[in-house]
Amino acid sequence: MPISMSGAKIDSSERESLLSSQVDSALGTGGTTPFMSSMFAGSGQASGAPLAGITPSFASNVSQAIESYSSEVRGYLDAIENANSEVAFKGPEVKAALGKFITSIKEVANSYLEKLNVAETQIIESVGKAYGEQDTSLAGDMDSDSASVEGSVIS
Amino acid sequence: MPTIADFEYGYDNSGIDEYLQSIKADYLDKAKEAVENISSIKTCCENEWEGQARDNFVTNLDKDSKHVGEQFMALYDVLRSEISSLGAAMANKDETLIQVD
Repeated sequence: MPISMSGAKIDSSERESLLSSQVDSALGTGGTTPFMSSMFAGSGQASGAPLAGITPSFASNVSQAIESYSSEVRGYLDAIENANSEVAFKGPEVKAALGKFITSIKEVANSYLEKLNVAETQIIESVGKAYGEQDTSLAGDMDSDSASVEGSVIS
Repeated sequence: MPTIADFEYGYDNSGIDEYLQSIKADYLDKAKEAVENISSIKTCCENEWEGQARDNFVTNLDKDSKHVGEQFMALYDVLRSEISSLGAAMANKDETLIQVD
């Protein structure tokens, strides 16, 4: 659809093509790319299900790595938001375009980081459950062993 | 008829281009690089977590982070297109105003 601005006719087909075909979620246009697949998709790993093969320090280390990563990304987003546009141009339309750009960038990134945060929570919960079940299992084995020992007669 | 001095929009083509390039080089490329750099999370998972769930988590995280980086660039293309449209509209407005009948 052409844009009319003070009598000027601008062919916006390229712009609309970009809006409709490549950018999803952020501009509310819907997209063909499966944005933000579940972090656990395809794993057969339900939320809260125990995870196998983890070290005792895994939970704290992965949490720290994710927090550090998220913090760095958010730092760059803040830098984009604080970029000064007054030097280059002024005018409400340009400001609106820039505002939409910054908002969309943050929306895409925040959606991603929130999803990562949910995945982190799931992992941590699963780690706790896995250790709890391992402890229960070990305790059961020890009880069984004790009973076996108590029942034994040393000759 | 408004005079040049009455123009609400002040812009400079080289200034706009420099600004957009600066946005990309100084901020967006770095943000994209940061999003796509999942190495610390990946290393932690690979060193301390075994199993299929780990493999799927890392694979999906890698895929999603790259997709977010691509989204950044797509949004930048939209911004450039919008600014170009506005610039073209401004140029057209200027030509109309400076025509001498």
